[in-house]
Amino acid sequence: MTPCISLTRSYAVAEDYARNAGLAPPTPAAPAYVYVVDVPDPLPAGVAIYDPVEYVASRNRNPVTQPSYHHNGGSKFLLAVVDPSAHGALLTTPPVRPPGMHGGAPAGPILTEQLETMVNALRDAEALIVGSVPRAWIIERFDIS
Amino acid sequence: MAQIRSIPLEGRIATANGIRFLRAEWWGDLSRFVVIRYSERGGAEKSLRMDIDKRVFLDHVADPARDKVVQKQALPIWEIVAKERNAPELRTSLAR
Repeated sequence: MTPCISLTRSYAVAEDYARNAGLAPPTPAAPAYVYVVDVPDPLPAGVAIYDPVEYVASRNRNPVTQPSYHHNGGSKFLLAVVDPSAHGALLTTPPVRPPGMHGGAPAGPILTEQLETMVNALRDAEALIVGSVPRAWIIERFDIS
Repeated sequence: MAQIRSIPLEGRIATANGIRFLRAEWWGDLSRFVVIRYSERGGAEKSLRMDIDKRVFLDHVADPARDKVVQKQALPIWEIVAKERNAPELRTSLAR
């Protein structure tokens, strides 16, 4: 469970959620909604919005420690993180290692929660607001059906 | 009218704690969201949304012990859905 509400800067992402992430397809009689929110800058006191990418990156500043958001796979490995249905083989294909380096059971590239979180947040153009969105920030609503 | 497509899960995912997974449904072929229908101890059908790119359920079952069992099935369910979702011969459609 999370104390945050997920916001996105992408209307396309928001509409995909509205149209396809319900328990039934939206209809004209029971539409889904996309709300447009105008977030004040600077934020009012007592309101916190997090950028998940910045949050994870700022807490994993040392690139030579584990866990890290770095991986040891090939340059196309991120495709599997973004779209595992289409590129899932890259998750389990052992990465190329230096000549002469043997030992250990063959395994897929290192995929940490940190990397998954950052990639998923980038995918969704996501920001997290702690608590709820103030009603006054809502400037428009689109019905999706 | 949305065309709902589905993949059967019944008998393909282990039943645990009386939770029986029935099928995966979706209505946006390009979307990453599917709905997993299930029942508990033969009761009324219930639903959990799944993000197939994140390979997790977006929802939780109220009882933490049962939820733990349910969440463990996300990956086996994803493996079936990822493999069969784009294979028209393996899925069924119904208009709703």
